[in-house]
Formats: sequence, C-alpha cells, structure tokens
Amino acid sequence: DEAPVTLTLGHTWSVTDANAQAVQDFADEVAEVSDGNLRIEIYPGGQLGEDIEILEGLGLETVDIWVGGSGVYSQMSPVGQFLVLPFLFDDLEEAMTHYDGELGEAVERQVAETSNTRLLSLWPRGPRHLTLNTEATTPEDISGLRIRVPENPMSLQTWAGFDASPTPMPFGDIMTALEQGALEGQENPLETIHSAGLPTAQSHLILTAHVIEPTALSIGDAAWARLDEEQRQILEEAASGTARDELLAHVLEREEVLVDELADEGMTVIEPDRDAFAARVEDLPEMAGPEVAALYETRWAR
Amino acid sequence: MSTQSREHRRATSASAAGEASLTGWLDKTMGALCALILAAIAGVLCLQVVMRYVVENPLIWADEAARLLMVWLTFAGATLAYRTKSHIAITILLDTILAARQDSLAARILKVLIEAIVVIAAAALLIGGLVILTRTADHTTPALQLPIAVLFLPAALSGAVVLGTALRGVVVGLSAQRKGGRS
Amino acid sequence: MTTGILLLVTLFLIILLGVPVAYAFIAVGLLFILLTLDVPAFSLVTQSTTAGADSVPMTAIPLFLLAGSLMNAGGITRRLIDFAGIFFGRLPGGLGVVNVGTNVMFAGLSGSAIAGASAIGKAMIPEMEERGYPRRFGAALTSSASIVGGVIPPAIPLVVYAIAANEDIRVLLTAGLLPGLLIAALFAVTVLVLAAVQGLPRQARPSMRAALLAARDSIPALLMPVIILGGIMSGLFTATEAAAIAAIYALLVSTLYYRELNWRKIPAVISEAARSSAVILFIIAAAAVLGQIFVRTGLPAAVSENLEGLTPIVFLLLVNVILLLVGTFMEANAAIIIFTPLLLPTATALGVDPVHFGVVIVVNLMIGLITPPIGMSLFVTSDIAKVSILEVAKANLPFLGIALAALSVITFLPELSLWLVQ
Ligand code: NA
Ligand code: NA
Repeated sequence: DEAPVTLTLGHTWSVTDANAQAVQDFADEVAEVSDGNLRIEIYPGGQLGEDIEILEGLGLETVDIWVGGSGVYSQMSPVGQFLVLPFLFDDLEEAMTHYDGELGEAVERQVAETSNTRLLSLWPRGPRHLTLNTEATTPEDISGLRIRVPENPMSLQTWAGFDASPTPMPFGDIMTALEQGALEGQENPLETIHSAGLPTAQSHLILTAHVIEPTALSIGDAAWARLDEEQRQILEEAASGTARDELLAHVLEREEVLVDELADEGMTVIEPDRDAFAARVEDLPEMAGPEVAALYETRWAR
Repeated sequence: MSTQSREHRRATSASAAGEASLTGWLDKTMGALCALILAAIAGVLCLQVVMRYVVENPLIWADEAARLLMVWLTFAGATLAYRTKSHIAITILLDTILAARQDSLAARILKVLIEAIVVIAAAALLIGGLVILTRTADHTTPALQLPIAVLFLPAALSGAVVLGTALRGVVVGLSAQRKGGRS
Repeated sequence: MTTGILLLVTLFLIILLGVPVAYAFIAVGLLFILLTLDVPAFSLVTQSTTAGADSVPMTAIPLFLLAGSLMNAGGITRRLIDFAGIFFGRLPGGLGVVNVGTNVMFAGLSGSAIAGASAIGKAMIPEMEERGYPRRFGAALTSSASIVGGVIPPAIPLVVYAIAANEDIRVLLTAGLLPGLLIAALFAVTVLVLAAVQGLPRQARPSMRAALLAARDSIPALLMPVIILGGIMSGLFTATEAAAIAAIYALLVSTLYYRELNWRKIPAVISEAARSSAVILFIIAAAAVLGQIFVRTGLPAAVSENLEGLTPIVFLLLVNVILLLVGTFMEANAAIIIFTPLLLPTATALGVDPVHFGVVIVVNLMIGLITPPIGMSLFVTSDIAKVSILEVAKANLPFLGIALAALSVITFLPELSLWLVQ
C-alpha cells in the first residue's frame, strides 16, 4: 500500500454554516471511499487567510484545496468575471443545470488554462438580492444609492451600470456602515441576509436575483500532481457527489421559506422589474473581454 | 548612566519621536518614502470620509489603496528601522556582556550570531518574495487592477536590503573579531 | 502541543539573545515550517508576513502614533501639565497628582504608554525634583502613570489585540476607558496617601488669570480625545477614520493654533512616526507566520483541551500569572500577538467575553512595562532621571502593588470593561 496522502483545505465560513457542513461531508466521503488513503484536513473560518489568500495559496502550494465564492477568481483569471455576470440565469436550478453541463465544462477548461488551479466542482449558492431602506422596483429608484458590493470588478461595473454608487467593503463592516449611514443598501443571498441580521438595519427586500454566483471547489495544480489516478477520481466524484446534492436540496428548501421569514422579521418584500435592471447591464459580457464573451456564448448556445 | 539603560533606550526609541537622524542617501530616501506613505494613508482615509459623508459618493479604491500602502509602510519602515537599529530587541544579554568588558570576544560573537539570524529571516522574505512574484506574475488587484506585484514586492525588496545590510555587518564583525583575536 | 512548546521556548531563547523580535519570529517560524510542515517554507513565510500587513484596521496604529507625535512636537505636554495644575496642584502631593492627571490627558491623545513616559517624564521629573520630590519618586510615578496610555483610548495595544482577536477595534477602545480611568484614580489616591505619610509638598494656588489662560490654551488639545472617542462611540467614524481625522486635526492644531510645530519640521515628525509604528506593524506582520504554524499544528485546540476543565475565574487568574511573567521580559505588542490566538479560543469556550479578555490581557502587559528586568517605561524614566533602574523599581513598589490591585478589579469585574460597550 502507498502512504496515505493528506490535503489541506481552507475556507472562510464558520463551522456551523451549511456550506461548511457540506465541505465536512465531502471530506468524510473522500476519507471513507479511499479507505483513509486520502485525507482532507479542513481549516475553517479563515484560519488560513481570506478567500483570495487561500486561492493564491493553491498556486504557491501553501494550501491544497479552496472552497469559496467563485468570483474571487477574478484576481487571477477572466473566468472569475464571468461567474458573477448579472442576469445569466433566472433561478438556482437553471444555473446548476448549466454548470452541470457544457457550460460547467467550459468553465473548468478556462480555470485550468488561465490559473494554476483546477476546478473540482461548482456548488450551489442562493441568488443575490438587494436590501434597502426605501422602496425600489427599477434602476431609477436606486440611482446614486451607496450599495455595498464584494470587491470584484464585475460587481462594481454591474452596480455602476444600475447607476447606483457601488461601495466595496469587507462583509464584516456592513452592519456598522448601514447603521452610521455610510451605506444605503447591500446585496447578498437570502441566507446571508438572514444570518447577518440585516432585517434590523434594512426595511426593504428587493428580489433582484441579479447574480447567481456558484461556490468554487478548487485544487492547486501541484496538489493534483501529487495524486494518482484513483485518488483523483475519488476526489472528483466526491466533489460532485452526495455532499453537493444535499447542499443543493438544503439551499432550495431554505430559499422557499427564507422570504417569508424575512417578511416576518419586518422586511417589505418587493418583486422588482428585473428586465429593467438587466437592460442596464446588457453590454457587460462583451466589455469583459474575449474569454468572458466565449463563456457567455456557451451559456446561450442552442 | 549604565550601558544597560543606554542600550535599552535604543530598544525603546521606537516610541519616542524624532530621536535618530538619518544619514546616507538610502536611509534618507527610505525615511522620505515612509513619511510619504503614512501621509498618503491619512490622506486616503480622510478623503474617503469626505467622499462618504460630504460628496456621498465613496471611492471604490480607497480600501485597497490603504491596504497596499500599509504593506509598503510596514516593509519600508521595518527596513529603515533595521538600518537605524530601532527594532524592538531585548539586549539584556549583550548589555551584560558589554558591561563586564567592552569589545570582548563574547560580545562580538553574539553580535555576529544575531546578524546571522536576521540574515536567515531576510533571505526567507527575499526568496519567498521572488517565488511568489514569479508565480503570480499575471494576477491583478481587484479594485485598482494593478499588477499583484505591488502587494508582494515590498517583502522581497525589504528582504534584499536587510540581507545586504546584515551581511555587511557580519563581514565587518568577523574581520573585527579576527583583528581583536590577534591583539 | 510538544511542537508548540518547543517553538515558544526556541523563540524566547532567540529573542533573549537579542535578535530583533520580528526577525526572530520569521527565522524561528521558517525553521519550524521546514521541520514540521509539508509546505514550501519560503513562500508561506512571505505570503503570511505580507498578509499580516495587508490590513485596513491596522492603519489605526501609525495614525494614532502620528497624532500623538504631532501633538507632542506642537508643545502640548506643557499645556496639559498647566491645565492639570489648576485642579490638582494645591492638593498635598499636588504635583504627583498633576503627573497622573497629565498622563490621563496625554493618554487621550496618544496611543502609546512609552510615548507618555518619555514626553511627560522629560517635562515633569526635573520639575518634581525642584519642588522637593525625590528624583526616583518622580521617575517611578511617571513610569507607572504612563501605563494608562495603553489602556485609555486611543490605545495601540487594544488595537493590536482587536486585530489578533478579530474583534471590533471601536468596541475594544471604548472598553478600555473605564479600566484606564480606574487605574489612574487609584494612582492619584496612592499619591495623596504617600503625601500625607511622607509629607510631600503642595503648590501655590495659580492666579485666576493664569488658570483661565491655561484652560483656554489646552482646549484644542483636549478636544482631540473628544473627537476620537465621541466619533467612535457615536458610530460616526470607524476607528480607522477616527485615527486619520485625529492625525489631521493634530497637524492643524500644532501648526496653526499652537504654532510651535514649524511646517519644515513636519516631514521629520511624520517620518519618525512611520518608522516607529512600522516596528510594531512588522512584529504583527511577522507574527502571522507563527499564527500559521499554530493553526496548522493545532496548538490553540491543544491548549483548549488542556484547560477545558477550569472555571472562568481560575482561567483568568492563570492567564494573569502567565502574562505577568511574560510581561516581565517580553514586549507588550509582541506578547499580545503571540498569546491572543493561543488563549482566546479557550477563553471563549469558557464563556469569558472576548472584549473583557482583551482588556485583561492589555492591562496585564501594560503592568509589564513597570516590572524589571524588561520594563520599557521604567527604562525610559530611569534614563531621564539618571537614576538606576533598580532604584526606580524600588520606589515604584507601591504603585506596582496598586496596579496589580487594579488588575484584580478589572479581572473580577467584567462589567467595568463591558458597561460602555453594551
Ligand atoms: Na491612549
Ligand atoms: Na516588564
């Protein structure tokens, strides 16, 4: 028998988060299927650094596997811009169907070509929605409002396209910034809006579903090279196996009830004119360069 | 005044303003650079307050700029502090040896040993910096879209300057020791 | 656990050799990564150190230091002393109480205890001697009173703890106010008692006109703590923004109002503040290397496992004993950055509030500034007074005792730290 291989995995969720639980399930399955021959050591809660540091770490061989928001790739690959393009999909199921098919393969190819990492799988995360302290159904209603966005050029361009005033800041500062009036709104998946306690700071939930950013499960090229064929197969199958299916089921189930829960907590829920928002950012895929445009075409092929 | 407290004032001068004067073009340049960086940090943050509360249109690059400037400040300042011997160090052992006899062999050996350990640390920053710079050559920062080298260059540069300074110190120390051994 | 203990012991030995603390962190870190971890050591060292410096919250450290330096270069210390003299000068041992009061006000401008010891020591130790106080007494009192500089906001050690613990800097700074004032109040009472026992002199009553002048003159300086603390507590500014505003405010007051800081001297003051703070910043950045080793060898978890049966009080007592020992020979910010990640998980698991824990750690290590053999504040004042460290340390015994008593109160009364932040 060969000596067992241990891979280090870093993510930034707290251990109680549903994503962290799915990561744990994935690691357990790998250990079980490989008979303990392949072990994954998980470092949760940003112990190995912020998302971007862990992802850089894959190329530097200081970390083996990263799980986190796929838009973080934008620092090293155009594919990171594509994965946070607005209005690519109408709902999560549609997105996951595409990422399970040709589009997913094209994304994987681009990740492999443009970074020194390899995508094992794309995991589901709920669509992002807008919260505000005012009513809004069209882009005109949010003109000039200071909205917190993740530090990603595509997110900035999207919200600039809506004519808002996009403000990148760390997630942890959102509540304070809202309370002190430095921000008028923010955008996140329902689960995050709920767990971060945003209903205490924001009155309106605008169901824009403007972005569906999948979670990337990535391994560094160097770590991949250390594995034999069998271990690679185990890793790939587990990455797209039960852990992912259960996470998808969990997210879909939560999406059903979360809107009601947020309404119960006092938020006014608004169905906006999504087409009006989408019309403002139609040209983003082309502006983002040939790689993003190519993936965009794959998305709409046939 | 005892040698001990003199040595320690050096160790504590970190917090007392305006004590050491800078000599040589390298130190003067680095001193000016540090001042500029710190002024820029204060400027960026104040500008952000104005843009946020007065103009109501916050800068998207302010956070990233402040963070990058902090990395430059840390490494440029640390390099200068090394060259001006104002890093925090516990010099009690050296002081005791020096108090017993100025310019003793033991003191010179200890000084060389200290420099050697600094050389190891500086070499780690330089080598690691070069490896990272090569491997992340085509990456960019999220907000300013600058080459990621702006993030990792300071560590490598600082490693190089400190390495050079320390090696020179070790060579000088060793030759002094040889001379001292003969006399 | 064995690896962790070995690492700490090696680290202390290397530091005791006299290697600059930050370089010791990196060199020892490199060695242990090579020996115990299966990762490219050079890349991990450089990536961690860079990531350790790559932080917006950390900007508060150079900016608070700069604000203090500018104010001090602008001739602020003299004015604060005159202002404190109006209120406390006529008490028995008045100049001693003035010393404590000046330290409190200076603490509201400056983030560093040692800066306070140096600035106030230079002004007050000679003056106290002139008025009949033994020189060692002036040096001892100044060094002790200066420790409130690291507890009363703005306070760099609390910022360093907040960064190490990933807590809100604003909350930590606010939490430090009452404990800092308590320490100062106890020192003032001690001076009064000693004055009664030893017959220390009191000052003449200042004329009404002189008092009014002193008060008017110190208002712009005293507004600075109001701006910092008010801005932070009301949520108007982040801690970082408050620090930047404090620096700009200090620049304007010392150049335009006091006019003692010549525009041409400003670059030198900024440059020195940058270098001084970089010394602390580099320690924090380099400690990130050790942090990676701690995490990857599971050290905090092992510490937790060994301490999990303790009650919170016993745990805090144990922490006090450990840190008082550590504080006798280690620099405060370096100790905070090493011990916070090791002890905080246990503290949280035992139900100790992380903010209260931070205040306890910081007060503890500030006491380390006045305990030999490595008491930075003692060094500074004994050097100014030209009295041996041993003599100052002896004269300081009553104040050290009082500081320890204050530490017990702060440890056993979490409300004192948490009252303002809840
Ligand atoms: Na202070
Ligand atoms: Na001490």
